[in-house]
Amino acid sequence: MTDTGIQSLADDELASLLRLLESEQARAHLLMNVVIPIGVALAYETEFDHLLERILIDAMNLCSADGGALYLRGDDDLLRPAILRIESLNLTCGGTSKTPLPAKIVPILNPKTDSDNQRSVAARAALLGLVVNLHDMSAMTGPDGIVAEAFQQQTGYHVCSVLALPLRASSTRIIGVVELVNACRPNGEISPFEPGMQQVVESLCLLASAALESYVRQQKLKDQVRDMRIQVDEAKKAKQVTAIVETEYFKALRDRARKLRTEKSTDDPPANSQGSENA
Amino acid sequence: MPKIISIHSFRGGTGKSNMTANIASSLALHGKRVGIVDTDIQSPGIHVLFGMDEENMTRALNDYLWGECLIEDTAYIVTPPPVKEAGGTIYLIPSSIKPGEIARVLREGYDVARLIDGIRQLVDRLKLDYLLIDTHPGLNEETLLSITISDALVVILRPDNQDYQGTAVTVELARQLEVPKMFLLVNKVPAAFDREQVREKVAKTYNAQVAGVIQLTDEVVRLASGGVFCLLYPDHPVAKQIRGIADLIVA
Repeated sequence: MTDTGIQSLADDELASLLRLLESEQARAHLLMNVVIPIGVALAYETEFDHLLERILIDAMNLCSADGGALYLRGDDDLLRPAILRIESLNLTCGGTSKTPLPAKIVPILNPKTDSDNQRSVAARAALLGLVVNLHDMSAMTGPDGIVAEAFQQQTGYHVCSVLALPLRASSTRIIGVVELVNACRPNGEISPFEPGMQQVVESLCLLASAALESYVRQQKLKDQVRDMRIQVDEAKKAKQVTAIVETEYFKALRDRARKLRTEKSTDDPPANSQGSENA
Repeated sequence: MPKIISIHSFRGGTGKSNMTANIASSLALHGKRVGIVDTDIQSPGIHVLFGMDEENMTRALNDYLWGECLIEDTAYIVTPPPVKEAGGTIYLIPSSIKPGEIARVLREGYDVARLIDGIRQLVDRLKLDYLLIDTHPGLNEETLLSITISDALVVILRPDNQDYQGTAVTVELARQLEVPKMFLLVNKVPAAFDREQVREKVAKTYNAQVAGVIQLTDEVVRLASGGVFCLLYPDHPVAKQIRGIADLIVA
């Protein structure tokens, strides 16, 4: 843009552009200096519960969420809460804590109708493979309303804003959901999750998914080696060996081997040739 | 001290030629004279690892097998610079890469006994400290004869169901042929596998000494057939492992 172009902009347009620039700069800073280092640290995490806890805490910290839950998807299409945290209640369940999780298992499909479970925020994120960002759930309560299961059972805890992000292992496979609730402003006021911050947490979730997937793959391999059975069919082996060793050829070979091993290999006098040079 | 060492695997794709080149180089780094015979006549390849120019390959093992030259006339000095600096020498007796020659072997076969005689002659005529035989995978006359004249046998396998049974038969036949030293080498082990567990299981199953469990690293994969890993990455843990294996084999 030329100087003349900038001058011709109205002050408010310029201010708006500057705000946009600042927010983009802040986002780039977060990605470079916070999200990527977190992703690297996650990749090196060797304890599964620690890994889950770090993913959740880092996601919560990034967008100042008061609460967060991480669900893992099983082969049975159920989302199982693995960890739940609510800062204002000083509550941690699952993960490395010894406190059992109160939250129930969430079916991605509605078990009664076998149709998509649209009531659950987490199930919806897993089903669609998309981020669900609800500014105010208060308006959506009721028998057919939307629920954030993990938090629903905490008496007195009121969920207002929700950000549910799918953890994607590949372009088609969702392995879990990170559900963040009640973004807090510095003054403690609950606010919606901002779109800019949503993008940053999405990036974090991409890295977290890769770390989780890598961990699971390594565990599977470790399990395989623990169960590694070297299957040798002894009867079949004996049959195969016998078929060879009982031939006249093999017997002659064995005799030859014995003879060779007892005598020194002085049959052939050394020659002067040292081979041809390879250019 | 073993002089003739056969490197064998029941199945192809175990990294046999790569391992042969690496063990040979590790031995030659001690200032030794080491020969390698590529008896994988149907699918030769070890020459590539030593950067041998196929255009300059005027003679090959095939020529000796057809009675057209002496065995030592087919030997090329392929000593890589680090080995030369250490005072070692590597001779390679390659198999022909000419399709016509390979086809002739497949069509007419060859006198395996002549091959064996040639291998024994090489040790004396080139004054070799060690001679490594890179065998053709599987169990055939040539393999059994190679084992017969060997002082040590290294059987390479991967942690793969398809390798286990054939390896068991190979090991048993080698025992029947009373090969003085036999080692198993587990190659291409995924990085997530616990090497010690793999070693224990393999040793127990085959009742044989496991010379090493080599993990499949990114570097090894990247290198593929591009060179001798031990010489290119001498400080890499896998290189150190292979040097240890080489020392163990000739101890």
